[in-house]
Amino acid sequence: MTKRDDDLQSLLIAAVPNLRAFANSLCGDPTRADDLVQDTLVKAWSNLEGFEKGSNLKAWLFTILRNTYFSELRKRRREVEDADGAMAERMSVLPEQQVHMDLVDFKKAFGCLSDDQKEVLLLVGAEGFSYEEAAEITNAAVGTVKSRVNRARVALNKALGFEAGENINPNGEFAGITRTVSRG
Amino acid sequence: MGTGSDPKRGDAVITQAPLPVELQGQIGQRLREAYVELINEPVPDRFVDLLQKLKQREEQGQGGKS
Repeated sequence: MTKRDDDLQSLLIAAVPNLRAFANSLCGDPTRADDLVQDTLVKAWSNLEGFEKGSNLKAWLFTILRNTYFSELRKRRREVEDADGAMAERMSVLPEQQVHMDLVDFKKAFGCLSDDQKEVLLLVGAEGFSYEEAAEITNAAVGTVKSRVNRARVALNKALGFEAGENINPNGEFAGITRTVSRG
Repeated sequence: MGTGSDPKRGDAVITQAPLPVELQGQIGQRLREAYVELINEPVPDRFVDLLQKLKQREEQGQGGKS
């Protein structure tokens, strides 16, 4: 009996774009991100026994990827700052389009978050995992995940100087909130 | 994965008031825009090739692996 059928192969392939986006956002280095994804696929393939059938394959893959990333990071601690810098540059694509300027600022601000904050914000805010799933993936308590997500949002908000009432709901009840502009 | 060992541990960590929902929405929107850009990048052939190789190796080595 083989579990490694075409079906599984296509499921793994289908997860690659998300794994790459996650890896890229985390480490900020496209080459390293692709190496991470490759390591993740190899590990997943050779540890299929560790995957409980019926559970969330994507969550399992994300778990492998982030564990690989953080264990590498511990070995290569000195490169952290470079990677963060590269993240901002890496994500600053398409500068010629005015509409993307907001996004460029966002990416820079995102690059300044801690890895802990980045990963939970990506999992919850970008990938749509529940807090519980994100807690499982990051091996942290649910409360810790919620706290990290909130801190990440607060930090981004501060860096970007978002104002309640801007764009989304001009008559909203939060319109009186003071605009906060980061000078850091 | 041992996450359920101490549910109280993280709950005590929340010290900061949550951002207003509206601001959360603005940040979430930017985050998803940035993320979707990355997701939409074409997948290099190396990943399809890799899985093909893994599968072939599996088929060739079947029974020989513990």
